[in-house]
Amino acid sequence: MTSQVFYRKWRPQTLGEVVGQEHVTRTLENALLMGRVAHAYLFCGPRGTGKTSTGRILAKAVNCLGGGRGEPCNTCSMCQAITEGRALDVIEVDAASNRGIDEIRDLREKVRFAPNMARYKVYIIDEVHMLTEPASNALLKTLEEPPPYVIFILATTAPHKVATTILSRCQRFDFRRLTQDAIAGKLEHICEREGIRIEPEALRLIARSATGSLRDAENILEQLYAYYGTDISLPQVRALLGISGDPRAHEVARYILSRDVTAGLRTINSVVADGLDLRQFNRELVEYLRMILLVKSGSEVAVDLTQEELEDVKSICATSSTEQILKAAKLFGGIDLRLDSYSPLPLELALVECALEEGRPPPPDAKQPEREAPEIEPKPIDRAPTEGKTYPPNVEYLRQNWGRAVEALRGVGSKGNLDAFLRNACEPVGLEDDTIILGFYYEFHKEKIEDPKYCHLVEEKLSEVFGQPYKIRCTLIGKERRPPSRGHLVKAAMEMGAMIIEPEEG
Amino acid sequence: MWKVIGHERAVGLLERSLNEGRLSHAYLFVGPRHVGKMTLAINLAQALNCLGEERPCGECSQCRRIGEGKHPDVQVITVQSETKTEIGIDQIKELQHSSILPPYEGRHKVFIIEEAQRLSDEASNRLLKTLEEPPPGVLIILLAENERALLPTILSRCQIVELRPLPVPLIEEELRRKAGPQEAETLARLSSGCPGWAFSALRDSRILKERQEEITGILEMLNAGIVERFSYAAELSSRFSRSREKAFEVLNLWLSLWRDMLLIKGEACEFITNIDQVEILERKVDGYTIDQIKGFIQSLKEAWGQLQDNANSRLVFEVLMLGIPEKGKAWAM
Repeated sequence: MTSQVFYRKWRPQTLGEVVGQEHVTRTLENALLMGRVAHAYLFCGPRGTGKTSTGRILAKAVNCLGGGRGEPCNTCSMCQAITEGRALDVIEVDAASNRGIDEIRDLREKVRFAPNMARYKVYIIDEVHMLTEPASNALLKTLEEPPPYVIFILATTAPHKVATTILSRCQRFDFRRLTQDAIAGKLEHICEREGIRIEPEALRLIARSATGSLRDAENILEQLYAYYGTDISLPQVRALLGISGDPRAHEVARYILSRDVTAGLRTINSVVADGLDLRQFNRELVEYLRMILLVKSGSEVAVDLTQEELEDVKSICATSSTEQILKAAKLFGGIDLRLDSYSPLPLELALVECALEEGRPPPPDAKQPEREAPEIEPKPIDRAPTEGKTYPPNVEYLRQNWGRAVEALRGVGSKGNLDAFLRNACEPVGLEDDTIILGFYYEFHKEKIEDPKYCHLVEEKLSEVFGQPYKIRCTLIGKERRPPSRGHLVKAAMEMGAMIIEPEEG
Repeated sequence: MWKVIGHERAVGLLERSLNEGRLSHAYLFVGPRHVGKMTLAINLAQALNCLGEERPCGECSQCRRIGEGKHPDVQVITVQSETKTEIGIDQIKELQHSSILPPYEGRHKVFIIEEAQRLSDEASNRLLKTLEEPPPGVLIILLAENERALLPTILSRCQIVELRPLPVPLIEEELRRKAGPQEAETLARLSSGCPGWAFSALRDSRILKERQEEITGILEMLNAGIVERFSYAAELSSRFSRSREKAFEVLNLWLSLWRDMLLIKGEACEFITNIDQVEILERKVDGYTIDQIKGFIQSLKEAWGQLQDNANSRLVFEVLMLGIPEKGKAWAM
């Protein structure tokens, strides 16, 4: 542990070295040149963008023995003392550790003493969002009118947590996420000085995966250097970042679309057994599905594929429908592996879901327990894709799928509970062309749904569920036709020996 | 000799850094429970302080005492008691204080923060400055199951080393040294890539016994009547209020059994986890459609999320029990 990590070793020491924050550094430099340095600054921005570093540079610049105008010289004793963190007059406060009012009171007391050796006493208060409310308030007066020899530099990643009264007393500078070019440039500089040979492509990949934080990028480089030494190639970077480029992502996509559950499950599990990063695997899978979707919808030019790959994709397109591809892309794209990235279960579920959805028999319905069911359940995994959309041909179909339609209404309506409102209120009783006739048990529900506002919402959802536009008409069919409640709780109660004495309204 | 099973990549990285004197001051080891995070951290602490030739030798006084948890310069920071759920700001304060003092007898001070995802918000923030620029000779190692649960500002200050689940054959091979082939195979499979679990199950037969009891309970529920299901739900919920961990473990077992059923139904038997239950499961699968299995797994996951969000546990379990699909429902009643 003799050497420092890159992000400490290569901390910028002049404003010119701060990468990607020109809007900040230029302003500060001009202020320094004109001798118009403010007494309170607030630096905010995401992690690893240069807030603390800029604060330290500013502290050096104002105190530099070489004049105190413009950039610090970094050679005088004062600059060096500050760089090494032993200058008495540059006080770096960790606000997350000294967040109470007592610490701030203490700070206020000490502010009154003149600087020891330097021109200015500079307080760098880092993580300032962690100050408690009383502590923030205790700081206000000092922050507004400090003694002439004091400069406050506040830094935080969460400006929204800082009291507005603090914000308004500071000159605020927002640090931006770094562009990939800026990060790659800085990394290149480090590599040059450290004697690391690395492909430019690899640098760009590091820059991309660092999502705008230089410190993250420097950490990745550090690990690469520690593991592979001074020669770093693109495949090594890919390996470290867990980007596999594994052909099995393409295989799984094919199995999904050909509804081959068994082969799909096997492939996914072999990926797990090899210890690949499932998050990355899923990303690649979704990316491939997206390409298939693009090719299917005729925008071949938009995808970046070799001729061979394109042929592959086309052959997949030929056997699967757009809805199918879209559904797969949606399901796999919606998988959230962030919280448990080691279990393949979400992928497996999505796979099964994709293989099942179309042409599925209506779910076992509690409404018609006596219904004679088909004798043989076709094995779902063998089912071939059915062409065409689901077209409800008759009332019976609507009735069987009514539950599904009601479910779809969840979250709709002014209070988001239209599904609850409709659940036991009506049933489809007839179908005339594209008009569904809904039979209501009570006047109240009927009136409510006849209100154009709700009527429209219901029609919209029904069209979505049944795949073609529908209108609805409401009629009253009276209370006696209302079926007994068939919620599973009621069923459970009945199994335990309960009896329905009188169905209650509502 | 590093006493870590697998993880060549992580060990290689640390070893090289150590030999070249390029070790970082802050590491984050990410990986599922029992995968070997703590073992690796202890090994690293030993390597740093080892007096022997081949670091870590595991035999010198330093190595031995670190291994026994008796070394004054290697501190493990963890949630203080059962009743607490977070690592508090005071513990970080102590860390900061102790980090300023020079090592007592070793060369380096090592702080291992176990379950770093449990750092409270204040504690995390308090740690930031120390984590970025600790005093010389101080190494801070954070262990966490999931990096997403940590602040991005913490993550960006650490070298992140990911420890993925190990290949099952590797664990099996290690287990063979201490157990019969049959037992080794079963335990390796059950561990889902986490050797720590397999070895503790080997040492302590109670773990497997408890698991068997749970499984029996679960499988009974599949055919049980409504009354038994409700009493099972009540029991589960009272256990949940005693210890969330335990209840989640049971739920995990439910999930893994149903996942196995999904795999069996999907004709991918070779990948199932609960290999010792395979015959029973194969029988149980009959009569369910793959759709039902998928649906129930989804309800299990929903229940999981609801419990995480502090829903009424009894209600969640009862609804879950009622949702167990009924066999042959798709055929006839």
